Amino acid sequence: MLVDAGGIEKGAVLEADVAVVGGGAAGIALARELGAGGRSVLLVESGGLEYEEEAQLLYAGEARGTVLGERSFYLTASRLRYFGGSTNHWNGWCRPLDAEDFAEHPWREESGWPIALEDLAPYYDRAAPVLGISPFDYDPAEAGVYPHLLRRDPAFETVFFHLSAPLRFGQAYRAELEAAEAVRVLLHANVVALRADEEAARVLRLECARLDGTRFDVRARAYVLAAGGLENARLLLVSDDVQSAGLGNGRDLVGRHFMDHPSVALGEIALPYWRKMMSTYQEGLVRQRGHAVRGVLKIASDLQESERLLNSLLVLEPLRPAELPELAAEVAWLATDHAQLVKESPDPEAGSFYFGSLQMSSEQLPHAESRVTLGEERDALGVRRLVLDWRLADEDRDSILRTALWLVRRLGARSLGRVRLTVDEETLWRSTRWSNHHMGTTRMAAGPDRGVVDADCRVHGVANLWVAGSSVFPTCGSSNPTFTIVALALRLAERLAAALDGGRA
Amino acid sequence: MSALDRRELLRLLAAVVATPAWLEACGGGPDPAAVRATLAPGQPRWDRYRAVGERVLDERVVETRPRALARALAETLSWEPGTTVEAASERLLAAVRTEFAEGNVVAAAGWQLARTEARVLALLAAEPAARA
Repeated sequence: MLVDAGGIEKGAVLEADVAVVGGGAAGIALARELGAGGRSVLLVESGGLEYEEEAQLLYAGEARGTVLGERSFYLTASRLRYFGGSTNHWNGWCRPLDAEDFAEHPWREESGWPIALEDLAPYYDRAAPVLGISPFDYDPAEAGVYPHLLRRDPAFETVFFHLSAPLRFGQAYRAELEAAEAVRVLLHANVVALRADEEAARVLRLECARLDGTRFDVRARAYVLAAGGLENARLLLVSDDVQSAGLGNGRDLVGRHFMDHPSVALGEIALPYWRKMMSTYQEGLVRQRGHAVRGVLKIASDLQESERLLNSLLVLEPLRPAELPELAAEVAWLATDHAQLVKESPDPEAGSFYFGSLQMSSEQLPHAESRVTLGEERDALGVRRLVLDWRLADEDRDSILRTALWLVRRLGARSLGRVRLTVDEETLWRSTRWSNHHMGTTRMAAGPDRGVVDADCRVHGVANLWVAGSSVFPTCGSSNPTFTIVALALRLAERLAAALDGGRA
Repeated sequence: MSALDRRELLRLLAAVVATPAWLEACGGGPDPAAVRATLAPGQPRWDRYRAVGERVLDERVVETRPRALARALAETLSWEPGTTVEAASERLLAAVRTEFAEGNVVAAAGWQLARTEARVLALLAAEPAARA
């Protein structure tokens, strides 16, 4: 059922088996699962059913960094604080993380997850229908788009995103949650702090407030923070009455290792035009079982390892004639060996060229100094506002540029095309934007010395507190995070149910 | 463009850049005047290549003097008296591919070109005889 906190009296105490903080992709997926299993769930959502400025402004704070400069609007523009959360403005791109994203790499600090891709694979399968996409067994041949660019190349492969409608979780699951007996969605209820026992070993209650100042409590056997990659850390940091550095922050790791995917406008690409091949890389042109998919170029895992490169994806967008860069037509003639293409495909459409912009979405390393902390300013509820310092380092920049050069090399070596790079060491970050993917601030690690949550997403040292969402990602890979967020939430639902059954919560 | 046009163009380029300066540098080779006769003056393709070459020269990403360009190319393509145009064009193709594979690239207007490819285009733009 849906309940508005406006009707709750001051000092009231609401109870449930599980309290979930945040009604976005993670929180809703989790609540549905737990509710279906008969657990009573209180899903505590700050906003209402529609966007409200007053609630959104609770997100305001300071933001700066390598790419951000001084752009504090990042904190309010990159996420949404109402039922459905940031699925209310996401673009629907779904793809699992790659196996190498979970692995430890000796040449990288802070690499490796305590779980592997195989551990998450069954939950990716289950997450697909939750997100409104087809199962992730996409076969290019089925859609008639094979072969593709740089086929059988050792450096790059074509991988596919599945494109959700995009599904707005608040709209899609509202009726189901309204009808659910076990789930209460509490709207306009803001968690202002978690209150723990004297050892900071168990959460005792959530201190909640309405925007009019009315305070009340939520008590549960288990608590899950699902408020997003920035807010999860903020809630732990402000819960400092027992642990002065914040709940679960005995090792000063909460809020550190913040990551987003740097999105770099690398330049342009000139290729022979080949309708089937290039339609693979265009949004909305390729479908499988009624669902849209889209190809992107991904750097091969072997090359990542041998060249010490971060994971990255290259997105091609066709340019209109008016947008063509200088010498594009000239270089296109130079670039292409149609004879080679004829060998590789029975269906080249020789005689014209494809010109596209080349965008890279790259992994970044988790840097300890890239972090969120608490500022001195307070929001309308008296909660300290966030200060974000999103940092990128020379290693991130070098990986992006070297990967771009690898694309240049492979296309040229196979007479497939030419690339125009409009960035270099000096200018790269000026051509880079953010992806609104907030990751890493409560990172997952086997032990408390390296992370905030364990492999089950339980906060180290706090028996009945879990975290859902991309804040648990210890590394971020290059895929958009929502698919993994939902897969992890479904996995967490199982772990949490088992913990409740076994009396371990 | 037909399937083999690029090879044909490269063949012609390999021949036409064998301008007097090049021939002098390596002591012989096909008669550039005869090869140029196979190209229609002012052909758009030709102008396209030369436009890139002029940018290469402007940005000085390879040698700019015709003789130095010719020497470098003669060395890369193993050009010597008796080298056929066909053989030179095959070597040019192979050199371009190898240079890309090895990352031996230079940039003109941001476009990433194999070094030998850039030299050919620069020589084409620089050598007055090739403009005839």
